[in-house]
Amino acid sequence: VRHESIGRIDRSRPLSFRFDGRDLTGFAGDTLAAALLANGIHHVATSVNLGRPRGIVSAGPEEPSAIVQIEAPFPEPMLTATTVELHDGLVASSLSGRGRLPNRPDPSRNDAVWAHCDVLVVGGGAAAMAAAAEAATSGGRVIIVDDRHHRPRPAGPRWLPASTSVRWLPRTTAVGYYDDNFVVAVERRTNHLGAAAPADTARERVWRIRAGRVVLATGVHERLIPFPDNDRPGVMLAGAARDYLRHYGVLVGHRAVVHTNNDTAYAVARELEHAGVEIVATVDTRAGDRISRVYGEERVTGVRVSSRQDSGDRDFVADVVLVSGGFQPVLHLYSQAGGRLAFSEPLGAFLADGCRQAVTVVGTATGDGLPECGVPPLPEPSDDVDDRTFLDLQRDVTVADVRRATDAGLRSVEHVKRYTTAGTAHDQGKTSGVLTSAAVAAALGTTVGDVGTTTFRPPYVPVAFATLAGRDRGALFDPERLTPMHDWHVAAGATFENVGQWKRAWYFPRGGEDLDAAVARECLAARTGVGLMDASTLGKIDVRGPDAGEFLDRLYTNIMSTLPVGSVRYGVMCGLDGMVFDDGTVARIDDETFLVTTTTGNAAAVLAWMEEWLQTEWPSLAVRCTSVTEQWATAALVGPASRTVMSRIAPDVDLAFMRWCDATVAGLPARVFRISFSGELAYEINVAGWHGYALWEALMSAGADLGITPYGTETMHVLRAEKGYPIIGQDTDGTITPDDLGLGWAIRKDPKDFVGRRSLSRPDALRTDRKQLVGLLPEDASLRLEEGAHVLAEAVPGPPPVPYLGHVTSSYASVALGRPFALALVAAGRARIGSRVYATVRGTLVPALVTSPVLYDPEGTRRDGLR
Amino acid sequence: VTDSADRRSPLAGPLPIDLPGVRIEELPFLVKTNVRGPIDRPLPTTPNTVIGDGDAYALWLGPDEWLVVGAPVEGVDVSAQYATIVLRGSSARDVLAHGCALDLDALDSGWCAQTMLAKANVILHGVARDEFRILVRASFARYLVAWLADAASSATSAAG
Repeated sequence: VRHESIGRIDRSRPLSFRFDGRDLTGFAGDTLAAALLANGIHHVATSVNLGRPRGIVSAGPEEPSAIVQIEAPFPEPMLTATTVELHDGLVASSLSGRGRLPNRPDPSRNDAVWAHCDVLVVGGGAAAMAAAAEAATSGGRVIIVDDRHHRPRPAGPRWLPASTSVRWLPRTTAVGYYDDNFVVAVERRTNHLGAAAPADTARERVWRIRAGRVVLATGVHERLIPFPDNDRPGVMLAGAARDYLRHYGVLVGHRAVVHTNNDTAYAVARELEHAGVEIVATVDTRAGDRISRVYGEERVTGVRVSSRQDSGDRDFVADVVLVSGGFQPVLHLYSQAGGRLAFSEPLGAFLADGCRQAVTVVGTATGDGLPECGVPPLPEPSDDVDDRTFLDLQRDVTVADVRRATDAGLRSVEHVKRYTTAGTAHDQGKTSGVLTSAAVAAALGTTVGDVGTTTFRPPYVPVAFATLAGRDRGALFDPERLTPMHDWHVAAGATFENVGQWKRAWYFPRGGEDLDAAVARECLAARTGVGLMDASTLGKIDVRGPDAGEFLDRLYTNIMSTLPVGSVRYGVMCGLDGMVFDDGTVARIDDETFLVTTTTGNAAAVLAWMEEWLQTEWPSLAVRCTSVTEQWATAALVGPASRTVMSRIAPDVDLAFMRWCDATVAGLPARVFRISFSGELAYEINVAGWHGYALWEALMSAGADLGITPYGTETMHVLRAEKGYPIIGQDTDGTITPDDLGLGWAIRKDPKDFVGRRSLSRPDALRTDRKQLVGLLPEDASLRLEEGAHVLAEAVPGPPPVPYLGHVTSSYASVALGRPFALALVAAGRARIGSRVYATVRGTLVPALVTSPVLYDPEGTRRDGLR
Repeated sequence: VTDSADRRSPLAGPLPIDLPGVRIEELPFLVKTNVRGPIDRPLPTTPNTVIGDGDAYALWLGPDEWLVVGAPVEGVDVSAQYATIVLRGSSARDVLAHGCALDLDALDSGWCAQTMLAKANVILHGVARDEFRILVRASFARYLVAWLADAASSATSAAG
């Protein structure tokens, strides 16, 4: 039912929409709730637990009841009909407490923006505009966030001088208030356009606002009055009925009963009466009157009024009941900011009472101008399970439910909240929180001020996960780090694996090969011919300065300061606990410069470790560390034929093992290392990152007639495991010392200290039954042990607890060995070499022989190639 | 011995991008050096400031750390470590505001900052009021450009 002239809707723009299968019309400027009420529809939802019909209670985000499912243009569950702007083609349906998520990806975009201002004003009423004008006139940057859409200010606040810096954000709700005046707001940008929304515009935008000062002009929420069947469709807040009239020209009913504990509802009644609503009765609790019964189920048809003054009850025919139980300032953000709340008995409301942050509350949110009506009276305490006097409509919580909670011994309003779920719905009890506190107070015989409120937590209104995700979805969800040779790998059909954020070539399948077939072929090439691997992701740190050698001596377990220029040394780094933290190579570039490599995953951690020691413990050392991980692209040329390939594109390179040199490789300035992670003759060729692709192509071309084979990380793992080279993080778990790995030789014998040394002399580090890295050969050579499998001493375990020796850390098929093998951490493993242990394969224990971890070429004869 | 044709930027494909109010392009193969002490070139001593002349810039990274861009100097060569993306135009600031927490309006020109842009660590250099250089690890460059293109299309769309 529309009034013919009142309202701010655009009557020249009718809109078609559909609700619960009915085709309806509204006008531009309507909310879904307004358009439904204009069509005489109050019953829009069903309560979640009791299945009771529910209507529209409010005209804003405080709505406790009218939760709907949007079906088109795109499914969205559980939106308040009072905040959904109507648009052509909107399809919605009523809900019973729970919504349905779409079963297809959301095509809309959402984004986020950072903003900074001197003053942030939250609100859109007169107090907000006055605060904004004052702030802007004094020259500051001002942002206004206003969650309404019907305050028509198309050009922004036009009463402000043009020179001022004011950003006005309508349709924007501040949802969270954090430390340092950081406020998060959500702007609904295109939802109201429906299918006409431009595809390139974010549907919703998260504003992350850092404000010098925050002004909260957030107004008030009207409260309900608890009376029997106060949840019937047609029972609504008095102020909401006025809003529907003023903004949308909607008459919420024909015959209204007003139920109030204060004077404001009388003004509402007069305004509605003037617009054509018949006010059949005014029930004022201050006169001792109350509504004792509501007629009608799916819609109010009348009420029974019980009076203290009259002897009898009177029935009235009515189709709406307009309720005002007083007002509560909207202080959710204030409370989130750390503000204290104090209860005012005269107002029956919690008021702002000081905050550590720079926040000011203005307007009615301060309590100014609110009626001194206290909290509306509650019905006599009842523990009737059929009580239908509701406090929290969305959670179906009644006054009797609260009574049962306090009877069960609960005293804190927080406990009552959790016991009854009052205040835990989407609306966080905006229209009922104080009533719940009052019900607790009444049951306990104390005051509302003593009971207090439950904690206000962000978000102030529900926010869709898609909105919070913003553009962090799909390919932008997490950065993919790519090496300079990445495009080559893609073109070659490589399969990739994630190593941290890196995309590393895992293997290069040919003609339908699976992982095992490709890796077998790649391993064979590296062992018998020549293979090529992209090692660009290895961490690289330039360590330089007069004390660089001394510094590295303190961080690595072995001596680095004695390394001659031109040489490379393997090194292990421990944590303070003596456990292996990282390993890699150290090359001496000149007297004062070293190039350190780290594992791919630990590049940042090792640099941070170095900086921590330099800055906090050893500031006297003159050393500078600089990450050069991506300055260099690295290609590992591996296999007996690698020397032939090198001789073709770098004829001057003649390096001994563990030496490096600067050279020209394929016409590119390069730094070449003779180091090997496979046991084969190998070169690691480093060039500037932007030359990586050219180097790779040159190497592939130079080795083409030798069958040069690109290989990935899986083959690298097999080759190193055959040689017993551990991978830190795979064969270790933070409880493994260098000696446990068989790297005792890398711990220096002189008494000089290094990080972790003291821990390595603790009795626990010297136990002979520590877990040690060993090889395992399953006796059935067709079986591959499972990585992570427990290693046991017995074929048939006794009763639990079953003693466990350790676990399999790496397990592969090996072409070189002609059989599967594994590495494992096994208690007293080295003493068990030659004995039998058991490990699982698909749940079955199988016997395996304990061996040295070095299973391939233990004499190291292949290191220098086949001369 | 080096043919510049052998150099390959990770951004050769996706850039430049032109949108109303913003252009995203690359300055490939710039010389960059991490400097830790005095060199024969003035270095800024005020935190997060830049001294430069349009060709070469010295960026303050720390009390004893600078990045010299555009001219070869003594130090650790990090030329290929970073890609250099230029963002220019009246909407450039708005694009950055989609992923950068700094108060860019309060910064004019001749400043730099080590910060996050979206999910990448960057060195952000304010060359002029509407011109920014973004130095990003080469491995992150394509991610960041994809993000910039997405943010720019949203920041410059009709609805703003």
